[in-house]
Amino acid sequence: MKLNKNMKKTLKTIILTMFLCVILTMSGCTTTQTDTTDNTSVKGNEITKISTISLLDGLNNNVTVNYPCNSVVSTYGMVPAVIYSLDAQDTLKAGKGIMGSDEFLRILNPNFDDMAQVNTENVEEIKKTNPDVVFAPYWNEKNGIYTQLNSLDVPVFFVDIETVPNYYKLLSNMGKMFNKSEKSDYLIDYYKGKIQYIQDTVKDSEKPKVLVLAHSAKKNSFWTPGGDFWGNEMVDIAGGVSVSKDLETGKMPVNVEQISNWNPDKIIIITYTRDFSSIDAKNQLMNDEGWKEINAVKNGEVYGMPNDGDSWDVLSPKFTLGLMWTAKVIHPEVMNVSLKDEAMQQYVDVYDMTPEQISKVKIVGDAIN
Amino acid sequence: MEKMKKLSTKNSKEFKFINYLLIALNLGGKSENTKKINYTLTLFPLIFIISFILSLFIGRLWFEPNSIFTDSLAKNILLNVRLPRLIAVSLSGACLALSGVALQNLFKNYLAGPNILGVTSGSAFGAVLAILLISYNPYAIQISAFLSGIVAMALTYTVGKKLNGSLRTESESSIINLVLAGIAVSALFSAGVGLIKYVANPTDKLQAITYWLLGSFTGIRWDDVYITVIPLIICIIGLNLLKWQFNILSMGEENAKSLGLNVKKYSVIIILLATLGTSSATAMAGMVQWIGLVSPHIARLVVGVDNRRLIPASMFTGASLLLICDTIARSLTPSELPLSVMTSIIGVPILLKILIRNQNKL
Repeated sequence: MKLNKNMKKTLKTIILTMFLCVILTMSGCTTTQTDTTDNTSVKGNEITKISTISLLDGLNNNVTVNYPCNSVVSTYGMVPAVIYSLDAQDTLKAGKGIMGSDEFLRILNPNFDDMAQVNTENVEEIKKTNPDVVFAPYWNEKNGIYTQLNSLDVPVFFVDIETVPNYYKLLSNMGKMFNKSEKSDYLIDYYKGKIQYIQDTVKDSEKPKVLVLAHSAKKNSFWTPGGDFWGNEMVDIAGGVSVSKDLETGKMPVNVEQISNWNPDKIIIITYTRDFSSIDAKNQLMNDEGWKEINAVKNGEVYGMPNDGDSWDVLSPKFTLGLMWTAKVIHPEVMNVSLKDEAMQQYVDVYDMTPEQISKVKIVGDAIN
Repeated sequence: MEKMKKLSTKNSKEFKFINYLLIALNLGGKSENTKKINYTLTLFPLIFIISFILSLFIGRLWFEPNSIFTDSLAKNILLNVRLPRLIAVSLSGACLALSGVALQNLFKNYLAGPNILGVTSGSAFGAVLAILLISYNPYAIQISAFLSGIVAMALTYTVGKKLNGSLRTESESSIINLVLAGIAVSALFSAGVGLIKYVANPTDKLQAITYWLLGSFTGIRWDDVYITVIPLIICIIGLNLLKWQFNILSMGEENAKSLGLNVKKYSVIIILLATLGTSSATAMAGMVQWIGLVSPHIARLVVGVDNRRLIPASMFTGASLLLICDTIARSLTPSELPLSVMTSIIGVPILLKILIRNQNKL
């Protein structure tokens, strides 16, 4: 059968179109994200191609940032450690850690303090670093500096990491932003595995009443995590019943009378400074006459949460260490692990630390060995 | 006496002076005085005793009073937690009220008080500075709060004197300028507190500062009472011994001098005692607002302006009021409420009520 000229032309067009479609589809598969888009920008005589990526932040705002992010600023102390765990520390232009975690981050990066020169409360200082994105705490949404930053075309990504699913979501989003999805997926699986191990280990044990107490830096004064704070979920996963879980959310100051009312079987003491460790706070509590009739104190079941620069009770890259430690002090009969050995291993698994770096880490707290 | 009363309503200077003199020398209106003294001697201490006993048995842990003999937990909470706290609260409330009434007398201004004249802000600045520079040392915090409180009061007094003469009369000028100076000094130290909060590490020092500024007697034990009881008792006894001098001073500087009172010496003593009491209470519990200002007004409503009755009445009112505020703050919810919030919620409506009532009387 002979094809006439017109049919040949149509066939050629169809084949060419199909070929182009296949090429385009293949090129689509090779880009990392489906939610990235390419734009061109003209700067002088140079034409540069800029990719962007759109992600939902902790407040469900759609934030579009340059992809991959090469320059970020953090105004939220929890974020730098997460960026380091994703091996994206080179992108961090400004932002201090939280609760003494700078001490740990200094081991990972001796130049960490250079970033302290940038005032992350000042819009102009932030803009000077020309960041692709600014990470900010979700409760600060109404703060004027973030509105100003948006008006200066600096995207603001609000971070909410009060729960484990939110922490995974942040890891996943940051992995996409920094083109480190492989590491973020690895970390999420790693943490899920650790949690599963803890839950499997303690599942058949009885659940004692546990109180998490953070020292408020005033003599004999403490606060305890309210409802949806991580401390309550931490105790729950570790096989205990948090006595403060019914309090309203937030850091709730509690007195010894209320604690006598709860009469917990175990008390976990936390401090967020290396100047006054959880062991110091524990000793203060044990020597205080007011506490002597509470079950946990009478039975010597008061424990100081370890701190290696970071207190292990926060949702940071080391949160599974805190979980494992809590499970150990609540259920020593089944969770028989050396937290020191576990920490050494997690430093390698999460931060890829060298033996020299690990040797500089000092862990202070109870029941580490 | 009746004639004198009628004339005194004319508000003439001479009769004010004579009236004050009679009051100061305990010669005026004997029958009325006796009645009011009875009030002072019975009503105010009685309210305080009832408040104290009720507070002893109110709290997050409920127990029968007789269970303290059988239940070691109840006994411990009562004797080692509530009792030292209530003693600290009572002494602090008494000192704040006495400081308030003393400063109101000294400056002849019913708006004067440790808060308005900058002592509280000064003490707060000293305490937060100590928290910033020296961690976890309650003694250093207390000394720093006290010294800074003295500096603040001295500044207010000096600036207030320098501003004199800008208004029509000397007394008007003195009162308004002193309050203005107090506002300025208070703002200065508040700015200092703000600056320290700005530079403080948000994870530990800032938390401690914020917690401290909100005010709370939580964690007070016998050790703390032993440390602070001496300055508080000195303030209470000292200001109570100066009742007669307060009456003379309230006649005005010239009249007091003509009656042979060393005004300068007594002014310094009163300022020192008021600052000692206020800064000791502030160092122990943090910022406690309104007690120093409101308590003398409540007491004045019942016993009048004679300082021989007003001083003890204010003292018991301050102690009772702070006891009530603290009991609510520690008992209402599982989490302790900030004391300053409670004293403001209770103190401000009382003050407004008194002001409106006085306004209606005029």
